[in-house]
Amino acid sequence: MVDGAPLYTLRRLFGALVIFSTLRFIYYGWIDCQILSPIISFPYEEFSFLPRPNHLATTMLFIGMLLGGLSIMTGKLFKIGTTLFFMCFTYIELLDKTYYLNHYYFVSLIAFLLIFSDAHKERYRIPKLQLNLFKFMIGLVYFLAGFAKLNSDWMINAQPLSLWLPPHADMPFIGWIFKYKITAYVFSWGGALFDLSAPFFLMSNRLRIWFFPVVILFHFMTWLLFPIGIFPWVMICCATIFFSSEEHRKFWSHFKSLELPKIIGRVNLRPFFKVFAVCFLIIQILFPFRYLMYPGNLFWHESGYRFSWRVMLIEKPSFATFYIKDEFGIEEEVILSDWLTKQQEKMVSSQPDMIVQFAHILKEKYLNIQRRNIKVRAEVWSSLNGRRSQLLIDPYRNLAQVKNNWKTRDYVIPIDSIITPQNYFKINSKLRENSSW
Amino acid sequence: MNLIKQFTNKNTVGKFFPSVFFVFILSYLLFACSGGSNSDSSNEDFTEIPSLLENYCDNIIMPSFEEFHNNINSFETLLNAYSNSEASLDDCRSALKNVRLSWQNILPFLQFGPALDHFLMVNCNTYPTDTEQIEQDILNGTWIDPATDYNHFGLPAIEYILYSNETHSEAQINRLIMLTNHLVNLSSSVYNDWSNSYGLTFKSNTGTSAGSSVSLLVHSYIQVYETRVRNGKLGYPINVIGMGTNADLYAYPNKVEAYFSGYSLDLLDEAFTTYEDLYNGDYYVNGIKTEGLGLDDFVKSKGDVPYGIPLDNEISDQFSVAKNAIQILDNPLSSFVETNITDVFSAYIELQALVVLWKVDMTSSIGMIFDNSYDNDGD
Repeated sequence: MVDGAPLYTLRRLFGALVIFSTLRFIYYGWIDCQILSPIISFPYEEFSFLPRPNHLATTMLFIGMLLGGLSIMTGKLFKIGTTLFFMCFTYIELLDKTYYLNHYYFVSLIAFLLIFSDAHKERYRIPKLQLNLFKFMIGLVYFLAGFAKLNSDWMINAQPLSLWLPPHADMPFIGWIFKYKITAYVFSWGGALFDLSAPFFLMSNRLRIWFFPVVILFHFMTWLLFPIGIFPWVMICCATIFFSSEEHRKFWSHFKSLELPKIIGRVNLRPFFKVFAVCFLIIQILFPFRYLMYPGNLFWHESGYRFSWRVMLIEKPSFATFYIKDEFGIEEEVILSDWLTKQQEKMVSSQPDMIVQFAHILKEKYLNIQRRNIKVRAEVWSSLNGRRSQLLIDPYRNLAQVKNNWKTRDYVIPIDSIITPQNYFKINSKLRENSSW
Repeated sequence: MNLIKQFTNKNTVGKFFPSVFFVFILSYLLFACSGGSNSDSSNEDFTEIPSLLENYCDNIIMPSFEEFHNNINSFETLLNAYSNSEASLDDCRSALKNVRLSWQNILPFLQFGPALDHFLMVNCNTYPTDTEQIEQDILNGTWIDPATDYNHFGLPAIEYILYSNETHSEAQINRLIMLTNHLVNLSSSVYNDWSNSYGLTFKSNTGTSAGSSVSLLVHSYIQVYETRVRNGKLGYPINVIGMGTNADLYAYPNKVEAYFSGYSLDLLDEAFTTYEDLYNGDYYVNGIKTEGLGLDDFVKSKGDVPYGIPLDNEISDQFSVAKNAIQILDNPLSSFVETNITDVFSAYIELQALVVLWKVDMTSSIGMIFDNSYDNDGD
């Protein structure tokens, strides 16, 4: 049994942040342009049964999120409120892969863990396992994010930071450092070291107090340089869980009305929670490593890329042209802006599973609207982390027939088979002849 | 369970990590924050965006708009002279060709700023032109500004009337003057906007983020190239758009630019040279080519790429390959597409390769940030 003060802080701050995040989402008008107005959406295959919400349902989901957030922050009606928040938030998150964000996933996970915790019972001592589960989860995110950076693009070529930092050269005060190539290296190595070592520094009672300012600085810098939304603030708040309960009590005692109440009892550890914690951790440790099942360059084929704490690792500008062909052999180009929002177009152009998903959607739409049975192919040019552009997928494969599943993506051309735009046309007709297109 | 206990064991791992890294990061951040005043110090990277924009604006964009404006003005003067039989039809035709050649020089700047505000592109050069409607317009004899029906206005309509007969009626000449006058007004508005205010705005809007001058220019450069050079000049006449597929080649002779006058390829050559010069930042002083700061220098400043050939070499090489492919084609393109359609397709493909290099490689190399306002943590 421990004093759960760190968890109470986490709950309060997390609740406040998700309310802020939800309001921010509404304020920026993203409900309309991300959820309601797109013509098509790209749900995760496993969750494609979830219906797209209409205007009313979306409003309800966001009200649910706000009420849930309020409940998390205050601890009132906690179990129902947290469950409500988790369901609404995750529902929105699962609607479209286009808007996948590691920090949305993180928020979902923390909300999920909160449902099973006693983070609202501020007057009770709680099982140590509850606190440790959160600590482990947060530490794991840092560590795996750092581990994911240990690849040659990041460490040896300082990519994609070499591409991302120089445009910030006109930033006041510190902008000038971004002109230098060495800065990208320092940031790359520093970032990897920070992520890998953060859990250990934060666990150390002696070094934590010195390391926490670095946490704040690090996340502040990422907020300054990259469009990563509220992630920095979420991580700073979550990192406070490593401080001792005395420190947390002292912190809250500065605010009269928010002071943590005196402990009057204890909640016992339920056997269920032990089983739950172990299962949760095993999944969390193993799931990010599912990419090992797939041969080839992970950043190129992106099988097993999402939900694995790979943050800011890829710059993959791409340019895709989709073609359809009906039974009469008439081939035409698909005007992407007829179907996709700008953001969807960017994501569809670079992520192989979304390319296939779009082909499936096109096939279905043409069948339903025009009664034409079509084949779909795509010529996709991608440049991964500063490499020259090359063909991403087989340009004459009928993508409408390709299944989107957990198997190896054989329609992706391996990254070391480089077909450049300059030599593409020399082999183009041969490729076409050898295909069933 | 042991796993968790082990993990939360206090002070076993903390000692293990030498605080060297910690000191390193902190001191670096301190170093980083202390040098704000040094922003003009010499550097390894490209900080010459202001000079780049100045070269583009003062030496290339403004002179090009000015020349186009002067040419269309002299063309109007000649038309008036022609109506009084003081100038010959040949003078008018060659003046029109000058206008159309100088039109190629402003292509890259049509999709941003004043030219976009005044819809210069569609007003000036929408083709194939609707000849029946033009004949109708001549009969009507009144002027109504084009709204969406640009296909009986602009240079192609002028060309049609000028080449339809060897002598022209008063009604035809009136229509010619009305059509020309509309373009004179537009081009003077665009030129005035550039010289009065937009030029300064353009030069002061540095950086490479969305909405910066570099970003606006490069997007316009690529977009006009795709729609008006690659598709407009070669793709539509052979029934190919986008990346191109050689399955459905089909000749549409009447879709070539300058169908009635037959100098389509002169215009393509001029446009292509414009694109190459703009990339290189080159401009002309009294007909002599002068080197200036261009996108090529920007790309070169990004230094050696860790993978393969430096981008600038690839782009320059592709410019020459595409140029050679264009040289094979012959005027008049309208009959050439019927006899040598595969040559046209080859040229088209070579033009297309440049689009990929610009759109994918160049934009990311020079750090043009994708135009979005959403959160994005890296993928």
